[in-house]
Amino acid sequence: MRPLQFIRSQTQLVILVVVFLICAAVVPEFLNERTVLNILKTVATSGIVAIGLSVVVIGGNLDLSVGSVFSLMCVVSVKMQNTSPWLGLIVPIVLAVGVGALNGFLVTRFRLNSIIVTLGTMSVWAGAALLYSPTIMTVPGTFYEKISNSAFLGIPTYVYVFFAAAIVLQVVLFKTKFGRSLFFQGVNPEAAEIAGINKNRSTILSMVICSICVAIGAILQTSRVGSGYPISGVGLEFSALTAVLLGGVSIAGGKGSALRTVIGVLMLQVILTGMILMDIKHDWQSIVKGALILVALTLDAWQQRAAARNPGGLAA
Amino acid sequence: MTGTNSEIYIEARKVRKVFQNTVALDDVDFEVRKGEVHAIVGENGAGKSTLMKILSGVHQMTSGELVIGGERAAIASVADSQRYGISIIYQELSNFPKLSVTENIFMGRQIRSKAGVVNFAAMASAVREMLQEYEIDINPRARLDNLTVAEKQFVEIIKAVSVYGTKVVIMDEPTSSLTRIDIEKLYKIIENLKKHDVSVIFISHHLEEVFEIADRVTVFRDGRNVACIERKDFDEDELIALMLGHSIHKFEKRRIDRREVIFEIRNLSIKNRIEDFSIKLYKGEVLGIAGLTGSGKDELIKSLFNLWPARTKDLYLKGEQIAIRSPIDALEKGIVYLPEERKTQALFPEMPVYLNILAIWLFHCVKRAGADKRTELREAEALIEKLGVKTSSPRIPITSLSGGNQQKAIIARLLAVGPEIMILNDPTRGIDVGSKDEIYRLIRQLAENGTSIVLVSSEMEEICYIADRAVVLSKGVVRGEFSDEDVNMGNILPCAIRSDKRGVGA
Repeated sequence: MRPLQFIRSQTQLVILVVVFLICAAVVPEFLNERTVLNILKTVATSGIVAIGLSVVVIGGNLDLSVGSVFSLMCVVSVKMQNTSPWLGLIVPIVLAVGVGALNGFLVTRFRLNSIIVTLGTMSVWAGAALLYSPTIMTVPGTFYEKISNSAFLGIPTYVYVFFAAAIVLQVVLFKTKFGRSLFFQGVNPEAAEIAGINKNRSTILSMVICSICVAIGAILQTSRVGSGYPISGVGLEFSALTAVLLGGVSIAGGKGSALRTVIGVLMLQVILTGMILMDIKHDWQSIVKGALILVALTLDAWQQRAAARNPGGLAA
Repeated sequence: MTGTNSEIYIEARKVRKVFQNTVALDDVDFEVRKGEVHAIVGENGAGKSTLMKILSGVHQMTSGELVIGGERAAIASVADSQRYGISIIYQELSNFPKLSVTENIFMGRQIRSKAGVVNFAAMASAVREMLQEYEIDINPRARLDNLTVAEKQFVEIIKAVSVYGTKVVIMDEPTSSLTRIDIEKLYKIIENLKKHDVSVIFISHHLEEVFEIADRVTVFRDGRNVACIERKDFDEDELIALMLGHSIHKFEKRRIDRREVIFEIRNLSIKNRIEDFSIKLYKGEVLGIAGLTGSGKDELIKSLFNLWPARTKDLYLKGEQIAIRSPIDALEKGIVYLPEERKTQALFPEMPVYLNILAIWLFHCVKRAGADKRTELREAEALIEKLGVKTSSPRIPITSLSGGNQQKAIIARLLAVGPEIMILNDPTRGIDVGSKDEIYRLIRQLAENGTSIVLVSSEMEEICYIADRAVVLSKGVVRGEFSDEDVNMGNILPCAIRSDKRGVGA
């Protein structure tokens, strides 16, 4: 692939670099080690949620329940710590399989719209998290400290977990039947069904994977901050979706990758960090996040229309 | 029939329409009198719909002239067409299902009180009057999605004549999804339209209906107006002969060995669509299932793959009973399916040609889908060559190919799995003549190599061209079965269009 072609096919990467350079130019302290490390630390937890979500979105569905599930897994993980450190790891993940399977079951069995289904489960799990643990809980043991304090080459281990998860899902998406079927069903679910693609299985599996990612994110989060908070996932579905879309995953399905989502996650965090360092009031964050999701959506819709108008114009 | 006066309302002279390289209408003359019911018959692709689309402003003619109400007219858009008093009643109606009959009729032209508020009472009473005038029994307050298909059509007609002042109503196959009782109601409305001096252009494949309602019938064939016949001269055999013309060739038939039954359907029934259908498919045979839109053939085929619910259905593969719960089950048994709607049911639009071709192969023919890209491209390229898919590269999006080449790519997708049985639903719909021919030859070649093929089509010529045996469906009932030399237009067309009062849902 020639360099120019590569750059054109990697719009999101180019934008990330440009945004980064702008921030570095405007804020002198942006380029120092601590800032970069902070960005990586911050994205690691919510980033895992975003890459999990991207798997669902590529398959043509959406999971709005990731925020609530995140809250629930945070408090479950902390409470389980009281019994045994290992339970704090295992129980949230087992629970996540069930939560994702429930979403997938409702969507496939009753042919419901995934947005509506997960809007429902979102509310259910938000309530469940509060009932289970109405207040903030601190982590009793030192197990979590071990997780959060361990580092390799000066970078915390959980940052590696994030990148490892992205690479694993990238391989799953492009090198397994399940992953590749998601692209087909995302582009045209009816044609996929007629062509004998097991749409129901892929949909359920994608939602299970997404929930597992959320659980891992929640475990990392609790170990990082040392506590479990029943509303820690509020709004997470929006920032995760924003990152997914910024990474160039199409909301219509069938387009994107886990690595692209990583780019989207970094892009979002670079912008937010840049704002903090520029002393822009915190209240602006929500507005900027909202604006970004709208911009990403508009770009996505514009690209889809352009592709429909001029099918030969876009290289595959 | 009464109320016909001989004053001409629309006169079309030497209308010509060329699409890219094909001549759809070849210097057609056509006229409509005030208050007459003018039927148009002809095979699919004869040019009926093209002319109607020109009259309703969807297409513009390449050359020719139009005189409407005594003046030269130019129709450049649907709005122009409406201004000249022409309305087309579509099969898929464009309406507002959640609103009432009254609101639908007055949509965009609401009656307002002096204060500028929509005056529901005035609109409701106006609608009640209109409905009475045309003897239609519908509650003006009923929500549209609670009405039957027929009633929705009636609402559309009322809207056209009462609100838009339509002088000519075009009905394109209005009866294809109606029950017998609804058809009678439609006739009554047409009679009332005539009384109001409104002309009706009635397109139908069913000659019986034409004879019941039309004052005149125009026959289209190969883009030409071949005859215009007055009611007093109607003759069924003559009309069929005119529709067929001389364009049917005597196709060479082959002798095939019908000993080995490979697939069998027994007692297939579908609610309101198909009654007790049974058929055997022999090895290496091309079996045609012919039927017009609304004959039930589409539902029949879909039900085989459980994409449409069947009441009863027994399937046998090589003598053993099998169950097919999804297209996946069918694939595992060597049965592949080409759906009728290429765009919505077969294409993966933004994906490259090679992935479109490998959509089944990837998931059913290789152990791991992560085989390297080179193997995949090689597999796809072999199929591209085998089927003569014209594409500059296997990596370009499928949508950049012509319709014919898209279709060949989809057929390549089916061949990739080496199927024993292929069920093709309208495989040549909307593609150019050249690709059609290639697909026909491919079908014949596959059959000669032992693949068994079910060809479902609404184009009778196609069935006659390549089918070794054909069953003809009309209104859910088998009207005839023909083998070898008997698979010809003279036998099949009458079965498909001579609709009597028998049939499912009648």
